[in-house]
Amino acid sequence: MSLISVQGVRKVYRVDRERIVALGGVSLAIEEGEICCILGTSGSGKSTLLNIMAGLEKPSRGKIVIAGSDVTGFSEKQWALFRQKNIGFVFQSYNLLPTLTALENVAMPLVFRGTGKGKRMQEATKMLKAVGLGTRMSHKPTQMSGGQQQRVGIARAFVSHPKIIFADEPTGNLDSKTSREVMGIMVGLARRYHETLIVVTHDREIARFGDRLIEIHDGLVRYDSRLAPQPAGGAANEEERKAQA
Amino acid sequence: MKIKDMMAMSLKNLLKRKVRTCLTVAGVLIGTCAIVVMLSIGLGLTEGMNQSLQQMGDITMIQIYNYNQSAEGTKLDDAAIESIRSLEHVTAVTPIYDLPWGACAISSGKYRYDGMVYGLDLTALEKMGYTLDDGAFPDESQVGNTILFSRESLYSFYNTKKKSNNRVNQYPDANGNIPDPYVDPLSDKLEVQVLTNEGELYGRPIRLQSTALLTSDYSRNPPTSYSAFIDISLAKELTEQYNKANKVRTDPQNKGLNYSQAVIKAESVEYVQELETAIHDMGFTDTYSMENVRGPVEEMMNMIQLVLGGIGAVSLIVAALGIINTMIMSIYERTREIGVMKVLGCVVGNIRVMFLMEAGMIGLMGGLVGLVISYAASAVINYFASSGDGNVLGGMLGMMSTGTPISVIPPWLAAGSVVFAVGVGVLSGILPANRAVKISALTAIKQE
Repeated sequence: MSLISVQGVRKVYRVDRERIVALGGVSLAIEEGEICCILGTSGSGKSTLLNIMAGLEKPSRGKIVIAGSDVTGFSEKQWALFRQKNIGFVFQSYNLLPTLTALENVAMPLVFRGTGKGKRMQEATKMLKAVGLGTRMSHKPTQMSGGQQQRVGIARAFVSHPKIIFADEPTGNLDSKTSREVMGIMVGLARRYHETLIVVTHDREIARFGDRLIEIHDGLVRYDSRLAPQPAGGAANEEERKAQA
Repeated sequence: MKIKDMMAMSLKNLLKRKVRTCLTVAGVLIGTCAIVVMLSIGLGLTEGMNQSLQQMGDITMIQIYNYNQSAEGTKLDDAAIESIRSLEHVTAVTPIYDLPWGACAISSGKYRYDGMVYGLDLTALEKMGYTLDDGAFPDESQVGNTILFSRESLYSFYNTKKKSNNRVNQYPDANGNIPDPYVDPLSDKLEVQVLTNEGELYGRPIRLQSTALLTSDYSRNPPTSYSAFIDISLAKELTEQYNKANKVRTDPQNKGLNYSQAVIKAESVEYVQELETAIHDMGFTDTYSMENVRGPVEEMMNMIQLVLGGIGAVSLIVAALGIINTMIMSIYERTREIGVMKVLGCVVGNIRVMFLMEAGMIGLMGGLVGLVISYAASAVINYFASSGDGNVLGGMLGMMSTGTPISVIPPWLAAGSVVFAVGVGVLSGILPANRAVKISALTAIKQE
């Protein structure tokens, strides 16, 4: 059984009298441990799909089943508790709390879970070291570069070892070199802990890091394919597949 | 989420915006100070008023008069005294029995006492609030042959061997010394003997002792300053002898004494009204207590306190608005942060609690600092009020209560004000906290 099952999800926004269809009936199945990139231009509905899967928005129609439980009708509190246990999140603009140090930021999801301070700090230290920031633990976000901040953000998403990690344009504010670094770290951690990673991006380069590529256009899935494991030169491979499709 | 962690986060947020937090706390502080100082002045006035009433007479005392008793009216006898004693909140009760003037002679050698003599329940004296200059109150085995004087009443002894200049004056002599009275009751021999109408001594003298010297006090009833106290039991015995000596016929049906007065001491001021009503219900309508003076005064004092407290409350309301404003500003600034917390799995209830805590902490800090400043302000007020009567404030507020502090902060006011300040803080936090709770987790995703 799939870890995430999206069944016929539609999302329609109403702006004044106009109806805008963001998602026009999307069905997907994402397996456990999959690293999945959702590619689309701005306005394609890719972020809406991610928000619906993470419980930040409700679908107008359709159903979402995660790990066997139907989460479509979850209340806000149920979602909060569900996210505590099962979901990590990486944001485009990092969204670190400015008053807290890197270490405290990473420990934040554990605070919400009610984990004790000693255990919390131990886990957060381990995760910060894993993203290569072992020397910057007591820095505040403003004292770090964008790449470093995003690595703190990644450590925060992984710290509670959730089943699923959603990343919404995680490299959107970074240059291409740092983007590759950040993606490498994220994919590496997901593989190491056998966690499911779902990355939303508009950057075809970034999308190549995953095992699977889903392209969304005008609220519909236009392309969905598993990529062969590719250490390098994956772009050519992908072109091939696309041609076949 | 653990409470400790929530508190730490709230505190961190407060410390992040130091200036704004300080200004908001200052608002609460001023409000707390205003309330505490105003109420403390009200309390001080009440206390001063009670003390000046106390100088006029004990405010917990009720007098029963029985002079113009009708034939069918309730008798103020031993049975009536017992039923009064059994009422709730009665500390002590004693009948007052006036011995007929010149009914007996109290003497110590050639010196004789010609002041007033009252028969009372001597065992009740201490509870009635009488105080001693020397010695100890008599115990139950002693009261039967005890007589108590005050230093002032001892000057009522005169020398029977002299026709004139037979008294000691209690005024200072040429050298400014007050001469001692003839008799020292604690060491000298004392006895009492009944007199006939012709002034002849009758029967065998009864030996008396004095265990103590009462403090002279005009304000008490019966007063100690010009009278001697004996026990009711001795008074009864002397009356019987007097009746025999003068061949007074008494009604055999009515052997017990019918007292002219009784005095009741209530446990505290608040029971006086209730007890007086109960005594009226028993049939003794002629009573007196300071209650008819104290009642209206207290009402007035309550009004003053209400007005003073109201003035203070207005400034605390302004402070509450300050807290609301600060919190809403802070939530507006932290919208994104709150969204992020929600995405990371923070339960809505925890967010609400954190904001309420933040507001409560502002209240707590304001309350505590305000209390410290209130104590200082109270000390300053009392200092200026007590120094010199030319002071306007002291003259204005302290006129009826010289010597007592104008501003009094009892522990309950101190504790209450801090609790109140925290309460106001938390209450002010409700509206902003509700706003914070409604912030959508989506705001975290949206790009600026």
